[in-house]
Amino acid sequence: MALFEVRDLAVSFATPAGEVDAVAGIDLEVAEGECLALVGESGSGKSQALLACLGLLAANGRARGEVRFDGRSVLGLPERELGRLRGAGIGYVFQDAPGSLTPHLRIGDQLSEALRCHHDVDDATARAEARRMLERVQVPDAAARLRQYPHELSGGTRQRAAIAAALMPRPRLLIADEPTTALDVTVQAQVIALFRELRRELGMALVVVTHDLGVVAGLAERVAVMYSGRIVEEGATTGVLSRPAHPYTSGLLAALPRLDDPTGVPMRTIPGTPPAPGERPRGCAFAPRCDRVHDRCRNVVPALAAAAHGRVACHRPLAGAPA
Amino acid sequence: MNAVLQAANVGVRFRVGGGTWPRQRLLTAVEGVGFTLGRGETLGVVGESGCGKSTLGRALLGLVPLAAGTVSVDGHRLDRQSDARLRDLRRHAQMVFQDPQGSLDPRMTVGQSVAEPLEIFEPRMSRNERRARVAGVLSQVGLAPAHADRYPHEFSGGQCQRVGIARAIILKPSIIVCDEPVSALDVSVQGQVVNLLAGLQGELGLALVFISHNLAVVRHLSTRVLVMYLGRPMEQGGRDDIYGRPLHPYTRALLDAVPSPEPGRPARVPLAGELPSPLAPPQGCVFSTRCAWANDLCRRARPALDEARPGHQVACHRWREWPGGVPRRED
Amino acid sequence: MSARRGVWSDALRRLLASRAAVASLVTLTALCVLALAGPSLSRYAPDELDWAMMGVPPDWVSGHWLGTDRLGRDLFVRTLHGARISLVIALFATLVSLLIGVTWGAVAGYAGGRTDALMMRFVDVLYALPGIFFVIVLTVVFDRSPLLLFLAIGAVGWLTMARVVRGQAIGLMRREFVEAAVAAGAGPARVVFRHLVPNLAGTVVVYATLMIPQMILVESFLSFLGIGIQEPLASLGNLIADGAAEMEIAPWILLAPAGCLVIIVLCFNFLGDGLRDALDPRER
Repeated sequence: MALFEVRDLAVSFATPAGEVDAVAGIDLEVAEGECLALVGESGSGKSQALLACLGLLAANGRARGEVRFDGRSVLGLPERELGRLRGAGIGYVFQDAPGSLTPHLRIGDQLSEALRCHHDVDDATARAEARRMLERVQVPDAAARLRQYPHELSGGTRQRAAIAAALMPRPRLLIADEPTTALDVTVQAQVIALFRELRRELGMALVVVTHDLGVVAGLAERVAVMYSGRIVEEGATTGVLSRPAHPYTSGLLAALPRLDDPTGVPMRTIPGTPPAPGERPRGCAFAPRCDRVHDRCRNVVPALAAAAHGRVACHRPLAGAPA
Repeated sequence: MNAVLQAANVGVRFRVGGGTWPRQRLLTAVEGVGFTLGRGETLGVVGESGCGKSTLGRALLGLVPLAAGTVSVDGHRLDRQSDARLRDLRRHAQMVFQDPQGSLDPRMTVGQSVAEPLEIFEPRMSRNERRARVAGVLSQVGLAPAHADRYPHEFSGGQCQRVGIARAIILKPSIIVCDEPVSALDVSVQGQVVNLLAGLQGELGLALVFISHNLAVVRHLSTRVLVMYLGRPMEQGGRDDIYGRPLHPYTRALLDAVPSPEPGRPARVPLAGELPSPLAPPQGCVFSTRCAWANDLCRRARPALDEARPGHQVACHRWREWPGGVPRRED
Repeated sequence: MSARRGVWSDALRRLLASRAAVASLVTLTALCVLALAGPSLSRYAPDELDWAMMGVPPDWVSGHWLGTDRLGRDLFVRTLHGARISLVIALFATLVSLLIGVTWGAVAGYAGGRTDALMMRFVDVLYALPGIFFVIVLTVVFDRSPLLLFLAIGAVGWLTMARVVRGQAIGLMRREFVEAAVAAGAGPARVVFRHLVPNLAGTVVVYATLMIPQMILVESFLSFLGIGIQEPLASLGNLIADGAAEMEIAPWILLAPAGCLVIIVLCFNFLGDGLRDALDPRER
């Protein structure tokens, strides 16, 4: 049985212009110890989907569907139960992770508090554990860092400290929302390597939310690609990245700047922009930007159907030619 | 080649700490940067955050004062100018910013933002003419003239960046400094903005300074690349030299850090540790604390910027050991 | 969604969605209309003495809807009259402090560094002087005219406004669009008045709304002490002072102006709260 299971999750927001669907029914599954990458651009609903799973939506948001963690239904749990689940069961590293540290508390206090909120341990134990965790996320000179405030640390170290804070209660699942987006390429590589190591050591499951397929390759076993509130392709990372079946996945891969791209020709892009959640077209949401579009795409939303390496929601999937 | 942007030995220093109190320290943000850029050329400036690349970009426009060296734009020296004269020179050199939404005034319509440079430099231009110019540049950057009456929050990041570019080109400048113009954008839109800049460069004969932390992005536009670390130039050269035969270990590390979607190829960690504090730069080579090749000499003496090949300069004691470029370290 | 929306029309829509704010707005408008037109609704003039009816409680038959004071003056008319004067003084005082405070704060925030430090130390020094004493001294040295009164109150009130605005301006100066304007060639005046001030407008409007009731209270306090508006002119302050003297035998003399004051202050506070929510950029 999957550790974390999402069935037909829909998220909508009440706006002055009416109810807007940010997520239009998605299924996800993460097994114990597995890593899933949820890939999508801004506005694809990827972050909202996961925030909804933890009951962290904004006040005007509403989630429907079913979310199960360890066999228990999560949606609609009372706030107290949710609080216990967050942290101890599911850790969350926010998009603005460095900003999720409280500015006026020392790193050591924040880390040990994160542990003591969920586990009955004394202060000394919590502090020792905080130090161990900071060392585990490879913060140099951990003992000194514990006494520092967030603003005294560099961006990369703050990111590590935020990850350490999420890991303190030893969650069985860690959700990391765009953990590398704000970082330099060199630090990105460090953080990806860190996540790989943490998984090996702690055996936790990991969901990484990102818009960067470059991050996915070295980290996740499975990948789900979201576009405009729906999952358009899902499967084993190797399969999806080497033989994308959905034109969007293939376009994203081609758009990723690489060192061996030919120069002197325009960069490959996907024309246009993703639709705003309230302005989704009638058929396939990707149809206006797709170079393989035909009539059916404009009228009928394609369902996720089995493909060579997983599932794809496309009326005319690519034959699986290498990207 | 007639140079439109010339920088020689540019240095920028900031006072830090202590407000009005005299106990201030000097932070060297940029030191010893020099280059020449002609029409239609692009200089890519690459390095990690904190390496001084954004400060350099601002110094090129006179937005931060120079502590040393000279910058000339279209033959006009930027240093030792009065504020008013400096503002006047801005019509030749404009800037595109990192945060597409944040660089537009939220209380102004897009049209007002784009028209602002015109209002400043051509105050006598009639309303109609101004509107026509705004409509013209908006369509040049791929937006509809009708978009002029909307507010920034109604646009996506990519569209806002187009607006930012429209504002930068409306005065027909000869230079545009782009500070990380695509790093806040979605991958599928990044290429659109890079292609737009490349197209405009061809059309208008612009000289571009393109600042980024990602070498793969810079590669598409640049004719020359400057790699910076802790405010100092590490390596500088033509695109093919930098990407084909990098002579500085830091350039190699930046190249290795570019994420690749190739399945099965795990991301490499080319560079451990962090940037040292610019208030206390390491003795010797500033990169020596993180360099896999550093030896005693590197830790003791600062390497000069050598001309390794014509037009290819490198500041490293050991570049002669790697005629084919710094090898990849397999760890 | 495709309907075009400006920043201000967005805020207005949110403001109108807040019940307390709309109710306050309606009440205040009604009160202002009454204060302007009210005295003519009643058959009595504010300084007219009704010899037959001295110190009577509210009485519908005689037309003394809120009663009369001990000289037989109609309280309904006098309260409205007092409200008018109090509101006018508060509005002008707020306007004065708005003008000085916004300019001072925006310039300090823009300039930064030493200029900012000097300008704000000056504010600190003025803060250290007890403002009320300052006003009292002013009114004692010069004549006790209403004009001087609102100038004096406003001159003290701008200090807080300057601090609030300067804090906001410093935050705005770090935003990229300000740098973008400078890079585009904008000079200091343009940056302050085209970019800083319009973006401060939200905060300033909220703060000014919350400042008006404060000003009314200060004016009332001064009049209560007898150094504000002088008889036979009425302000809420001196009406309350009158009423307080007779609180035990004729409570209505106190209740009419005090009730009016409470309503005005509450309404402005609710309206300020509503405006703050409406203009809060976090939701945008």
